[in-house]
Amino acid sequence: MDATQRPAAVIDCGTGFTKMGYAGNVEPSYIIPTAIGVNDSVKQGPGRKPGALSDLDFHIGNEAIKNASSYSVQYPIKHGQVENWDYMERFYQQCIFKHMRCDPEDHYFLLTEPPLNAPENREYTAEIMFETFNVSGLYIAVQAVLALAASLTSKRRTTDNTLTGTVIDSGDGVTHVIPVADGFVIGSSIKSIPIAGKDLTQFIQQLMRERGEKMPPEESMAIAQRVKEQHSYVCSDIVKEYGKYDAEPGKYLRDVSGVNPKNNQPWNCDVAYERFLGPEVFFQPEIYSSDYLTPLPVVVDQCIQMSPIDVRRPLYKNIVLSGGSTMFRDFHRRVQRDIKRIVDARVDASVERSGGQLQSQAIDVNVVSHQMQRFAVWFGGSVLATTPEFYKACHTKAEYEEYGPSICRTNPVFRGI
Amino acid sequence: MVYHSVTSAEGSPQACSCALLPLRTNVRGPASITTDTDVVDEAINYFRANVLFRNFDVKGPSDKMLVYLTLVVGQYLQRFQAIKTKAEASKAVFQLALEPFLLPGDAGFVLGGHLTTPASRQESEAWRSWVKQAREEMGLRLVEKCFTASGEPNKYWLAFACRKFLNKQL
Repeated sequence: MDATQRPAAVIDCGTGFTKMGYAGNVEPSYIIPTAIGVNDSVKQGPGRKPGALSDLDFHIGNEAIKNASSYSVQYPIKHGQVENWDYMERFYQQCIFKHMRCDPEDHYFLLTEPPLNAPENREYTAEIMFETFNVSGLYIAVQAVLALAASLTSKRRTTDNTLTGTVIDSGDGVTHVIPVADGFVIGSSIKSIPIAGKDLTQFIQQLMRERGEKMPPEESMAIAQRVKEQHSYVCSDIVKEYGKYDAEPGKYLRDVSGVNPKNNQPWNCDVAYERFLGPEVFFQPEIYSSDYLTPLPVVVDQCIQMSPIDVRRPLYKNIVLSGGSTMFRDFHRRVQRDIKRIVDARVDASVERSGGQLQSQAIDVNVVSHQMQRFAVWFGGSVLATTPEFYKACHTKAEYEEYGPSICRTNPVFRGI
Repeated sequence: MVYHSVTSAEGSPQACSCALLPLRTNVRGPASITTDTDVVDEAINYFRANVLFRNFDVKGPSDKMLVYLTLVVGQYLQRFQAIKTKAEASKAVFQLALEPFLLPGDAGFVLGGHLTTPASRQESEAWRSWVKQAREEMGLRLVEKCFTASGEPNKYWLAFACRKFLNKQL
């Protein structure tokens, strides 16, 4: 059987988590922390050589974190970019052989990269994939483009099958706003915001502490994270929301409980306003941070205004969410409403300045939300890698042997779906 | 965005650049009486939102009064923190209402940059007596908010005692 007949392997390595699985599936088969536990104790000390098998003695993912006491846990990817290629190679090795359990020679591979990745990094990746693992074919896709491709499956989409849109990608560490036109990232207008999942968790923890909730101190961060993931939502107006809590506390108050692992005492705390105040940080960063004050919808608007004028309307029309921190209920509604207000105010102002002589067509703002947001990038890869165009766009083993790693510096954009 | 006062300052006297707005109250004092939502209601309703912010762009004389009254809410909440029952809280409100407080232009007045120094003794007296009345009325309303019907402290309100509006405190 030819490798093109088998499903391609899709691996999306993010800063926090690696998502991997086979193309055509709806969900990744494995989501593991992008962590590797290596045993470098043998290398320490002068004149001592590492043992013959020491480079095989490592764990990845959850096992690495579980074995943190005897192995040193390293994170090979920082801020989306690979920092340590040696660790990354070993990480891929266990991903392929231990988790996906495939023979890389028999599969095409789709890997992901952050926007503005250096072409050299793609060469290193190609060297590892073709020479170490001998894969049949390789395609390196930009994460934002895959997130856009994932949104094409959403029922709420308004555009036809073009890969044009603005991606709001918010994970644990950082939030990016990335404009994409016809599958190409507009690198000069990418914006990043230093507010993401971790900050929301901290703010929720702070609010719960101020209220004097009796949480085990060492667990408080984990509890805040649970509140964020299970109970948080986006409200339309803070004061109105406070009013709702006052009127019907039973309907809105929640509680979380658990057992303190240290002394086996059960604990229980109430969850109130932090349910909506946590995600509010995206829209009014002032309530959390004293040095970063620009709300997310303003950043999205600035990002689109910096892009070429002929793509601005399509960029407003297709704003796509990706990443775990965009999963809050009504997040897309609030982003859409706030951007719409900014855009309408600007259009009205320009009509007024012209003295009523110029009439402008209303700008259509549409924020697309879909079921696959948490691993939108992986899902987009899974969808694209099932199309016949994918196999044509891939660099094959034969091409690599003919021309070398430089062929992977560029990866052709193809129209999927 | 912060929440601004929507009460119109038109027709109300002014002192120290604040509007001395009508109040809905039985407390004796100089303010004219209204039956609608007054600026004390606004200060209490917006408090839990406004207290989270570090900046406040003052839009007019009603807003200046709102800022001052928001700080008063904070002051009351701090007093309530150590109190266990509603009866004690009512006593504390009464005490706080009798305590003298700083006026604009006094050394150490926290909103020194925002409120103008009174030009005459009359202006300062007008401001003092209006604020005294508003403070007392606010205390009465806040006791109802911060303590439940059974007299227990309401932790959802008192949690905001730790927050400093505009990083200031009365």
